[in-house]
Amino acid sequence: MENEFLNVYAAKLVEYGLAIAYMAIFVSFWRWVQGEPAPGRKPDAKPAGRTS
Amino acid sequence: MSSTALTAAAPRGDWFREKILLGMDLPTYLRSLATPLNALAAVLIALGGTLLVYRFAAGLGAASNLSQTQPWGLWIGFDMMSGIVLAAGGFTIGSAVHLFGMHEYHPIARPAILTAFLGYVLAVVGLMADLGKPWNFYNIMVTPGSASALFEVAGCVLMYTTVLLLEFLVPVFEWLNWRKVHERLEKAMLALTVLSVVFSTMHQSALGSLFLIAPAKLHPLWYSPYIFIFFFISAICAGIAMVVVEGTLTHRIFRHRITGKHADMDKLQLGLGKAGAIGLFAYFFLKMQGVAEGEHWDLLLTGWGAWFLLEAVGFVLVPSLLYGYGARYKKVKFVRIAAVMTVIGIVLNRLNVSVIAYNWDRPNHYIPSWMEFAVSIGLVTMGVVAFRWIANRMPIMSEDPNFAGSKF
Repeated sequence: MENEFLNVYAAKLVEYGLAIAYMAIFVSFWRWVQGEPAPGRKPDAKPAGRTS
Repeated sequence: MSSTALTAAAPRGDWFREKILLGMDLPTYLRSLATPLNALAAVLIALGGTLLVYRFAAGLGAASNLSQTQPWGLWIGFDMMSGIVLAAGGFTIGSAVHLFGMHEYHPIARPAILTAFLGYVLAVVGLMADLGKPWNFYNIMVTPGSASALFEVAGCVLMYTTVLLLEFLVPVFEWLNWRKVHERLEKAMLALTVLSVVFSTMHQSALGSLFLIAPAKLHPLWYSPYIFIFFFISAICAGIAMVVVEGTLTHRIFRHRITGKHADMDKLQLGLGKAGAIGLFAYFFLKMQGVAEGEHWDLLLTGWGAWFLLEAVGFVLVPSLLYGYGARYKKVKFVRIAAVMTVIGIVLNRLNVSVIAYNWDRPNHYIPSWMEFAVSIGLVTMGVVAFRWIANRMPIMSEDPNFAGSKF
């Protein structure tokens, strides 16, 4: 291995980068899971049928 | 099934008929058992039981493909590791309801605790089959090896199974109409729930800690110094998933056993879907941290890497997104599919860690014998039959109206 000292830091950089990326994505994911879809964009909206 | 089994104490002479024979006379009851599924279950249990006896009579070598280099096989990977993790619904739902005040989940707490209790009992039976000298088990109580992860697993499993038995006794006492002892047990239930969380946290993670001493045997993609955290987080995800799967099945099969107002199972499962989405999302990134910590990104391009990605992406990330989609758009079907995928994924993980990716570089890799498969299938069948027997008789799907006001 050419320079083990620097490699340790490279690995740590990836770990911390992954953790920060996770936290950033997690906030969006949390909001997406907890949130309600916009009223006009519900995918399960059924076509209107006869009312009488 | 006669409704009197749930609603009122039966006269003494009719007790056996009402409580055990479901209100039928013996010949009618025996005839009602003669169904194709019951016949299949009887064959599987008889075969598994016979082979279990053979294993103890002829030894481990005769009944299994285990060896000195591969001492852990299907009975540990499936019956023990997977059985224990899938039983995590007991402490997950128990703590949510009784410690965190999420009382809306109360209707699914009893089935979850029963599943957990049966799961642990069968895991212990599977463990007994795997141990070379199971009759020496009492040594864990008289010679504590407090520095050993295996001691922690054994001690906590023993104590948690006892706690689960006590928690399961609440519906048993309602079934037997034993009011005094029921009241006393209810007073202890909060403490028992706290103990169940403590023991589960300890031994679910300690099952992962067992592999900390085998970094050279376990494939680097699955080995991580954080493996005990992976085991604990995945146990919570597995518990939630099992409650969804088991709730879906039991709510249909035992619908006739639900007295009073039916719980809105779809709403409960959508709530569990949110928890499952968040839990699996965290678990996926933790697994990636394991790869980053070991600098094993290059291994992802190998055949083992493809297998790892199938588990991590196909059975962790994808179900997480499915849970999230189902919970957001109120589509409970997606939550149920995600739950099934989670159960498969976490069983696959336990099998990968303890069997498939263990001793991965040995020339003659372990493949379980047909007898090992038959014993495991027999034990699972025994669990399903026991659940059905109990749920058909005891107030598991809903509380006994005679004990209205029971918090547990």
